[in-house]
Amino acid sequence: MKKLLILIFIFLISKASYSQVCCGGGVYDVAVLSLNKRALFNVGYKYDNNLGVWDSDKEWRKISQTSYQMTPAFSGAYRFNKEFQAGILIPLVINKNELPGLPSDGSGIGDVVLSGRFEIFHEYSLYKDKGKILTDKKTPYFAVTFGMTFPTGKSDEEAQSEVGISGKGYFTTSLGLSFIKTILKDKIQIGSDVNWQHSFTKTYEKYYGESVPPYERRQGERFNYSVTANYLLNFYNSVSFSLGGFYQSDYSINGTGISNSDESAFSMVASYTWYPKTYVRVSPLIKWNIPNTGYGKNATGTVLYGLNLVYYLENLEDL
Amino acid sequence: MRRKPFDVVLGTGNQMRIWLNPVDTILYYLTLITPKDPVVGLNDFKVILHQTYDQTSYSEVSNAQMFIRPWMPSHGHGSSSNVNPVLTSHGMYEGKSNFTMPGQWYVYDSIIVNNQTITTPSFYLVFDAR
Repeated sequence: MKKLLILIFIFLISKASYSQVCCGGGVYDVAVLSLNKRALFNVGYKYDNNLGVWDSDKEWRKISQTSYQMTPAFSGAYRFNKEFQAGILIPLVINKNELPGLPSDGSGIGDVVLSGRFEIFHEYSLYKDKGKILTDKKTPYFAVTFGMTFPTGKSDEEAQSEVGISGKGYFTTSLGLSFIKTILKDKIQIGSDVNWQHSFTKTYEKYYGESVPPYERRQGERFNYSVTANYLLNFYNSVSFSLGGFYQSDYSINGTGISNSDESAFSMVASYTWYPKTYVRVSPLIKWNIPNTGYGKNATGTVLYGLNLVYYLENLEDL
Repeated sequence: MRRKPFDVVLGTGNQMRIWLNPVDTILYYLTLITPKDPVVGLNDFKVILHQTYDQTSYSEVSNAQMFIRPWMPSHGHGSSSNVNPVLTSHGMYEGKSNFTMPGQWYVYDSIIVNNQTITTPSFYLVFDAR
């Protein structure tokens, strides 16, 4: 049972991220608690190396300069009961972009993310039938996920240059579904996450600190998706592999959609998890885009290396 | 003082915008000199501005003010660290334009002559930064 709970937990924490170097901020993977954990504290670090961009014709444009974003972050999560848990992420964004004549370094607090999930079904729940306590082996894990991003970072309205951007500058909300099913008990699971991300309108009165005629800009509606497979090597080690991506509709200026500005990208994530103790997790990961024509549109292609160190408070009460 | 007539020949990468200002009924010519091969980062932005009343005699405009604003339409953002073009010689204006990533960029150029804006808000030049 313990092994199973760990396996469920591994799946929940191995969500793909969709950060974007060019535009600051981005959605970080917020750790999630399994049933046998009450709370967690996570210190994470990501190094996101900018490889290039896909243009509006989906052509891959490689960049030659050094350009990356580092994101150390603190996150925490708390389980309130069997159904509901919530988390917070506070990132620090460090940008580097080496181009002659331009500022090359900048940093700042990023956008704070609050997230939660309402878990409707858990795998292997116990139930009573004719006086006997049985285990439900058919029902998958299923949860409704939701979140909100607060524009606590510095956007292109206030920053002095591109490397000073640490946030998007507008609120976003997300609503999604999370699904997990064990294929081979104590060994293999598959799962899927989908969510819809809505961005709120931002009114610009300045741009890079200089006054401009006011205008309103709103990011398009975004749909994120991922499919993940997990393999438990033994009690202390596991690996996972995800395929994911996003599609985002046209952005708008003063209420008018800008044609052919929709965005999309496809990515893969591989991660390894080591459990030296039941209450400690160490997880390195790598996420990469395929830097070729046709695998994205109006988006940035990167290779990302990450490391998460998590400490848990065990759940000692019956939920 | 009017200068001698001359031929205008556009090379590869040059762009020219021609428009009639309805207020003073003067025809203006803005010719891009650089960048012809724009790159990611700061680019020298050099243009020359002419005017004509009769499309026979042309003269350089040396009392204009220019304000540029690069914009990447497919991504919906602009850039920082641009330098508005200023007069360097007869009708020639030089500044800097920053293209922060590869792809198509518009550079909007708002031009003022004799305290009158002679361009429309949709006046821009197009670049493909590599």
